[in-house]
Amino acid sequence: MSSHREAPEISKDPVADNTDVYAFVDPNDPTKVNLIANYIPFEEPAGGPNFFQFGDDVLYEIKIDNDGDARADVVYQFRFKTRITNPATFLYNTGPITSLTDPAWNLRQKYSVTRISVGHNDEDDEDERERRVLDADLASPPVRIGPRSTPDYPALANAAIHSLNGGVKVFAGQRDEGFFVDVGSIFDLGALRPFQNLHLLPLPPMAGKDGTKGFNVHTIALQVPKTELTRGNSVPLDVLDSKSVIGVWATASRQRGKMHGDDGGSSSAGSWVQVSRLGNPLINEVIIPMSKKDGWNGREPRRDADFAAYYRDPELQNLLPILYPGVFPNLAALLTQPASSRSRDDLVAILATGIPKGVIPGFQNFTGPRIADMLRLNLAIPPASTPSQFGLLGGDTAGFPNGRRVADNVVAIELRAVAGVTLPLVRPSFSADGAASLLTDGTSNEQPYLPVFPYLAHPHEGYEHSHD
Amino acid sequence: MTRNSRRTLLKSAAAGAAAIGLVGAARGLTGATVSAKGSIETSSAPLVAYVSDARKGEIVVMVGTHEIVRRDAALVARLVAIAKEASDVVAS
Repeated sequence: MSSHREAPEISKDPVADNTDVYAFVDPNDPTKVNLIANYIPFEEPAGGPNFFQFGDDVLYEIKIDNDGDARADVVYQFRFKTRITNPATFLYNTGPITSLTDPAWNLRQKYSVTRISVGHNDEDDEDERERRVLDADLASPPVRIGPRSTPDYPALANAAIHSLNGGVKVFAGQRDEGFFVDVGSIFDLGALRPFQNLHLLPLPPMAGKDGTKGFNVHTIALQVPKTELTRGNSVPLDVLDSKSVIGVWATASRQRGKMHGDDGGSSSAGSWVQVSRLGNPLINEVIIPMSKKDGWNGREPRRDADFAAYYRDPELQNLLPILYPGVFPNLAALLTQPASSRSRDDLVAILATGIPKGVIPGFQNFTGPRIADMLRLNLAIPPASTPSQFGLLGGDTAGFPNGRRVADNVVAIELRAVAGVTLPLVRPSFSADGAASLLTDGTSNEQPYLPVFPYLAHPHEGYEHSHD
Repeated sequence: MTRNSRRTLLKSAAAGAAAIGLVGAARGLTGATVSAKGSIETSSAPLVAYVSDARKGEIVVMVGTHEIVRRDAALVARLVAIAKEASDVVAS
């Protein structure tokens, strides 16, 4: 999974589990950028009567670095508050919910959005220069229950897209899980169903199965003018200008102390402690070893240098020739050399520093040599007229790993990169194996994405049971 | 000892710890609600204090989203004594 249940501790705290982050220039208004952070993995749509919701006791944040030091210069904070309007019923709703103010809707959430501008005087200093509440009473839509309870869900959800001052749009609520992956096969000893006849433990090949099909997530989507994010509020026009590149990641934090009351309630005290984070997809999932995953989640990206070895000599790379004997002869030959002589600097660039100028003509999303998990987006690159789901590997510089769009096939892109497709960029003597450029788990999202904000599709109904 | 009486006693111990914690918190907490007499208003925000390092006499006081660390060997010694009292009660 991109970052779903990826670490032992956070797998027990789904409300705070950051599953995916997307950042892309808006295809409908290229002066703006969309930042999307998803939480709560594997939401079963029928999971009532206490359906999924954001945590009132969780601090959700989207962070942007605009000067290459992997520290947040702009932070958007989201805080939720739940209200029960009818304490006498066990029901989420006592009739059809036809509007965001419908009295039949019993358990509802509102939220605030706060923008913080942060300055840094030295390595360990953070100076909060401006804190601005953009709005404090925004409605989150209800979850999608079924034809009786939420008969016109798109209308409800669209009413919860809020336009704020300064050309900002925000949405926070349930969405279809837009990330697709054959998780059932991949975590069965790295099998890719379309090629599993070539696996060490072979089975007949078959089409991939999207393990997230029919599940929902909770999405925080923000659309802001690019100049709200850039250094000095500059207009990003030059692709090769470092000021055109931002780093994006999202976090979830909980207060350090939590007390459980005898009445079944709880209260919290203490400073916020980061319990989940995510920039690029699949980093904590696949790159970071199990024993370090919890620690990684609590770490700030600027302190990721300790994990550099896992990018330079990734375990998955070393497993591929073993799991698929004879399929990756060139990679297998490379791996006979000492690890110190075959550092995957291509993966370091793609996933940890950005790609510097001169590697791909007319492109860069380099934020400096500091190793840090941030999703790097060059804001001067316009949206693609014909996007490739393989992003940069498909010749589309507007896609992953230049930011990430909702439809980008990040599983295939990262599989191919790890298998060696991108290694010749830094090691011209290496020829990638033919199989590397074909790797895929064979999945796609089961329903189309929206062509407009918030881009992720409306959620599945509990009633329809769409896993079938 | 019955379950009820154990709970009552543990609650008393916790209340004592919190009250002691207030003394340390009121001196250095910035941005928290502090009354004219210098005491922290805790009616809306729970206050939690814990001994992070008994050997160093280090105590952490948390109220709202604020958190301060204090070194106060005497205070920590008193809290440790209360904790010992509580654990003795639980063990009995």
